[in-house]
Amino acid sequence: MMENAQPEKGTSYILHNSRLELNDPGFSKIVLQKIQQERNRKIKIQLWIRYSLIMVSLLLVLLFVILSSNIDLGQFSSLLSNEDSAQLQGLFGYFILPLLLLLGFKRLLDTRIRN
Amino acid sequence: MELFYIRQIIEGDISHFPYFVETYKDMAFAIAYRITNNREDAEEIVQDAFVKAYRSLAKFRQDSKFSTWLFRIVVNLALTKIKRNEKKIASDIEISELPDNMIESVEAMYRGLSETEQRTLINTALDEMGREDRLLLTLYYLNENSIDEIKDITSISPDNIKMKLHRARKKMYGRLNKRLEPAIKETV
Repeated sequence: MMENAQPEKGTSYILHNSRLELNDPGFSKIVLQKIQQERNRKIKIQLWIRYSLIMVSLLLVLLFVILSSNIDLGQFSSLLSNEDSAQLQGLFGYFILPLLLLLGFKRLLDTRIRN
Repeated sequence: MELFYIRQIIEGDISHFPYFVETYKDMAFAIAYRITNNREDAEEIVQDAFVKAYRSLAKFRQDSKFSTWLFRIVVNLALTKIKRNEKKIASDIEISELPDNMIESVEAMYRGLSETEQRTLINTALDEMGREDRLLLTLYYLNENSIDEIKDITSISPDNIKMKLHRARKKMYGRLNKRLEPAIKETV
């Protein structure tokens, strides 16, 4: 039984010649490329999480605004035909503006994710 | 220094990662090769191990050396790989252990060979041994890992490691002896 903690020198000497080397000069580069890809993947996941949270939050805000503003979505056509500017402003402020903001955010985040 | 680099990498600065690749790639490759006995597979395993290490770096508890942790990943990946290719692996050739009193004469004969001959001989001997024996010999004698580190890498108990190493060493000498036997007989 091997009792001592130190490797036998003769065996170490013999095994020294079994030393293997990765001679491929591109090895480190390949690993780093993979790491970079992995890093980008992590960033994308993080951005998607943020993006999803923002989208969900905005959708909730939008839903809340619509529900609390008493806008009857079925009356869109009559609103437009009556050219009631006050109601149109309300519609723009409560519905179209948040929608545009939402689409703007989506575009911004999509661009960041792509990059 | 390694802990500083690890913290930097976790914070997103991957410019320090090449240090780990350059420092440990050869040792990791030796481990993977001794398990798979295939250069391409070993290279792929080492690449995957570094990526996995990067991915899990935040989970590295720092209660062991980075190298020990990395080698454990290498061993696990290599074992998974060979399990997948189990049919391709030939069964280990039965090798007799060499008695202690003959070890010195084998060592002496071995030292008398040229470096190229030595390299060919030891690599052939290792290729013919079981993968666990090869792995333990590589970790202990080549990578100079302690018994405790080998325990962390392989999940084998220290007593078992000592026993297996003792036997693996004798088997290695047995294999060398078989190759050197004609030359030893000539000198006697």
